[in-house]
Amino acid sequence: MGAAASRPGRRLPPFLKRQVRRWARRRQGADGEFVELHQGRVYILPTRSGLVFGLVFFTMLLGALNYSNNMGFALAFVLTAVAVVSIHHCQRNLAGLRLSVSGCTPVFAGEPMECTLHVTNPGRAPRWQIAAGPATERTPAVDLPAGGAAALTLRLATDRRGRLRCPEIRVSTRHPLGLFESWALLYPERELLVYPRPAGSASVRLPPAGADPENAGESVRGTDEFTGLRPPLAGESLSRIAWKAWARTGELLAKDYRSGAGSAWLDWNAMPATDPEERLSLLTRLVIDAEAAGQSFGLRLPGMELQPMAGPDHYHRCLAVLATYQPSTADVRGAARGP
Amino acid sequence: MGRELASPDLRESTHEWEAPGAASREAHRSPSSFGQLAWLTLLIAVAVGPHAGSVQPWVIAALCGSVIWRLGAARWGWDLPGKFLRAALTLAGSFAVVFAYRRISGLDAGSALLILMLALKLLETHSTRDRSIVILIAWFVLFAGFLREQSVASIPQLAAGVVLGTLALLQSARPAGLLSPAQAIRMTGRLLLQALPLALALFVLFPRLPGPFWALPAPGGGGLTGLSDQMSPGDITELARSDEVAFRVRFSGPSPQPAELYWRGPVLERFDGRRWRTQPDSLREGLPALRDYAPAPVAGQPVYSYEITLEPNQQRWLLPLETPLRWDVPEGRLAGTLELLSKRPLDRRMAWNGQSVATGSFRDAGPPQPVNRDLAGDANPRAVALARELRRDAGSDEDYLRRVLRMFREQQFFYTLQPPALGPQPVDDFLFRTRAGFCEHYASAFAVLARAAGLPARVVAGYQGGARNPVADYWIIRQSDAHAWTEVWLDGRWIRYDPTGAVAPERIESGLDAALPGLAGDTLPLLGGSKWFERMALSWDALNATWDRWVLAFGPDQQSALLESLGIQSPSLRDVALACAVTVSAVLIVFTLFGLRSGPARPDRVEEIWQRLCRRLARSVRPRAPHEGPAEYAAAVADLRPDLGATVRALAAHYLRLRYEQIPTVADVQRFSQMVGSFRVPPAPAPGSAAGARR
Repeated sequence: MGAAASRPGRRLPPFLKRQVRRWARRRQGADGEFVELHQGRVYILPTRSGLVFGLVFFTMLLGALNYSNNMGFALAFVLTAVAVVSIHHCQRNLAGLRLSVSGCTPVFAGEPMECTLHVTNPGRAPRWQIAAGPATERTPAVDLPAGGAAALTLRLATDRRGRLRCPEIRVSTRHPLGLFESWALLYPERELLVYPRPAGSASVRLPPAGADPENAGESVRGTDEFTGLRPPLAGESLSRIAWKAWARTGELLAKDYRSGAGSAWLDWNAMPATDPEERLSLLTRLVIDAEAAGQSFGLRLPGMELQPMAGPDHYHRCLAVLATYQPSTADVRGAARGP
Repeated sequence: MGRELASPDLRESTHEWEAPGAASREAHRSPSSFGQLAWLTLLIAVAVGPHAGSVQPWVIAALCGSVIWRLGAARWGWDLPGKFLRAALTLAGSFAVVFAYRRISGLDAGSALLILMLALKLLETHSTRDRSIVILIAWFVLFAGFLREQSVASIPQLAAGVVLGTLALLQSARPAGLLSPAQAIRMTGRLLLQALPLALALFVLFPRLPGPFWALPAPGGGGLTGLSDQMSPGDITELARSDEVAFRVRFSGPSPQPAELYWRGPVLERFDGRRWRTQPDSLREGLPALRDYAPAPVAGQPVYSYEITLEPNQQRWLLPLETPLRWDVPEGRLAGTLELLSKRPLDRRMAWNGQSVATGSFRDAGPPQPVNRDLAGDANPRAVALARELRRDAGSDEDYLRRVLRMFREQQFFYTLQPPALGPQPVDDFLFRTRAGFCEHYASAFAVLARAAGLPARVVAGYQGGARNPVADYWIIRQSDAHAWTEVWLDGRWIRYDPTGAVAPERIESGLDAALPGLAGDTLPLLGGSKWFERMALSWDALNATWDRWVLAFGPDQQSALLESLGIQSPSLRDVALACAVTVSAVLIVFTLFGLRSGPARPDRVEEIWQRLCRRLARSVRPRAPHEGPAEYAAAVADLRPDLGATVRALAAHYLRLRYEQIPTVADVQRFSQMVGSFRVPPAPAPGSAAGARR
């Protein structure tokens, strides 16, 4: 949080900001795909300019009181009234907008994730200077004619693999006078997936294709006997049942023979690294390379095996597994022993 | 798949969504466009205009230079000054103000400083915030202008300042692109019209406090023009050169003759040989206060009722018509010297109602004090000798005073606004050498001559006459009507003697410009010139008088009166504050109820059609989960009913396109409606075949 909160342009100290957001999230709940901003969730506060203006109006008022200067009173009161009226305009400028989010396709750690915020103005009055992003004054803003719509692109920096809760999206406006800023916070009910950062392309090479899955199973004997086995499907062919394993443990498991010759196995234990994150990074690189080469491949991690396949669905499934894989302490210890 | 993917490892992101086009703070620049600067320039012209005649010319020149430089930079890409040059200019400007004005507070130095700040800030308007600071300073300069002058002419100035400032602010807050002038003006107009009721409520009901919290700096640090508590030869002469308005009087019913208009101010009793001064306050207060002094008018004498509106002059004299009978100033009191005094100096315009008889004698006033006979030792010996000689020849005191007046009238005495300087014995010098003087010379000499003859006497300063404004039927009394006369204690009362009347009777009957016509052009520019011009000037003054009376004079008393008329008995400050809070809240509630409703949302046909499709699918396949977007929902439906997949996906894609990619035309919407209308959900195929299709 620290880095984000210390970014210039934000007024609240990080602790307070966190509290405010938690409060907003609690009272608003998570948002569905479509959100219509009702007034209750449009917040408004004076901007820094607004505060300075307030101070000057107050000084004018004191001066007018002191000198009993009625033109001074008139000026101070007209300006104050304009500022007060602008509060309503500012809030009304945001309330009633319809918002939805699209995009958020997974990216590799370190790459920015993009989402598109669709803003629609269902009202009869135009909306002005709508911005999405944390700092209104520095974010490009759009005008929406009556019935108009706009798509605003947002980026999220990523640094680690995993599943992220979608951070809140802030939509704001300083229309009309820049003295007040109204904003709304969106909490899309979405998970963002960040794949591991791929290792450099020279650091690892694709293993030769055609390794027998049976042997692959043998090769890891001693680390984890049941690697590559899965619960049998209903009506599973008897030849696919791992009888040896059943004989040893009494648990019925099946092997998948569909992936056969011509497939490469990307194996956790075959990675030339000890650190689990490094292994994941190398595996990610191999998955990318295999996909690029059109190679059918399987993925084998401690406690998990994806049968060899090819195609974008498989590619993304493998990357998702790598993104969310949680190495157990045993794996880490195994890794410490080295391959 | 070995293990379930959904591990409970959902993290909070350490980052936030960023807008790709957002500039970093350092790099953030939204250069002021020529349009924005043009609005700012207009605002500055309106705000600085009223100061143009009062601040030193170099300040205005600096501002003009800065405006031209800035506009040139925006139009032709001239280089703007760098940080160091700006800092140097700031320093130089501040020093220049201190050096030129010898001070940094006060209205003149203060506004010069503000205008210089405006000029300098204009040279670094690179962002929305810079521009709004320029607007803010301009508004403050406008405010300072009202401290200088708040005549009727300041109404258009206020209006222009507020409108242009709001426009400029509106345009400044749009870094990307300006609104068209028509749009901007419409928007500003709406803002201001809505603000007006609130501003009016605040103006009328915001609690006004009597009295200043801090001392009032006078313009330029000098004294205000007007009478004071002392008078030396030349003081009133000085005053007579000013055509500033001292006060205005409106008689209800008949008004007296001009020669009867003696407006009584300070009573100067102490004489030091040259200078006349009032009794110190402690002594004046010590005299029997004539709180209940209300002399019955002599039968047949007309009683004049009038309302008098005094310009602020930092003095306490209420300047009634001589002799006052009644006054409605609660804190006003008639001192023993027959001065009508308010409790505190007049630091604001003040209006009061009074009744007077137009005579110059006070029967019931207290007896003379020793100070009324004091001749300041052996000052002015020749005058004293002359007095004794004249008194010896005279039959009575009255006769003696008549002889003195005759001397002024018949000997070579001159009435002039340029009296020669007087030596160390000023009365002697005046009576025997220069023989030319203004009213204070004659009053002073007359009082000395009376005292030298053993008669208690004193000098009274005030105003005499005034100009009647036929446009609105009231009298304008200017500083040039300032006057001094004498009172002598005869037969148990103070009697007014005006020696000036003996020298220049026209002065008393028709005013200064009748007595000294050659000076009229110099002294009273407003009243010189053609008849037409004179009439315009009088109309203008009438308008201003109305403005003063109804708007500028609005203060705590009027506020109380207003609340009393609404049924609140003798409202306290708290009542006023309460009334203000209630009214302002009411206005705001009305805003919230009526203003905030953004009008009925346009029924969205595209959305309606999509909802129709969703309802149909909900019945036959499954309802849309709240978090599912169109694409996700279509995918989920396709998963359950592969036979529908292609159609539903296509419809969802079409919907998204209409929704977000373009503003749909009527034809687009109709086509979409037909597509959805012709979509039928056939009965679900057998589960087995569904599984097969899935494979």
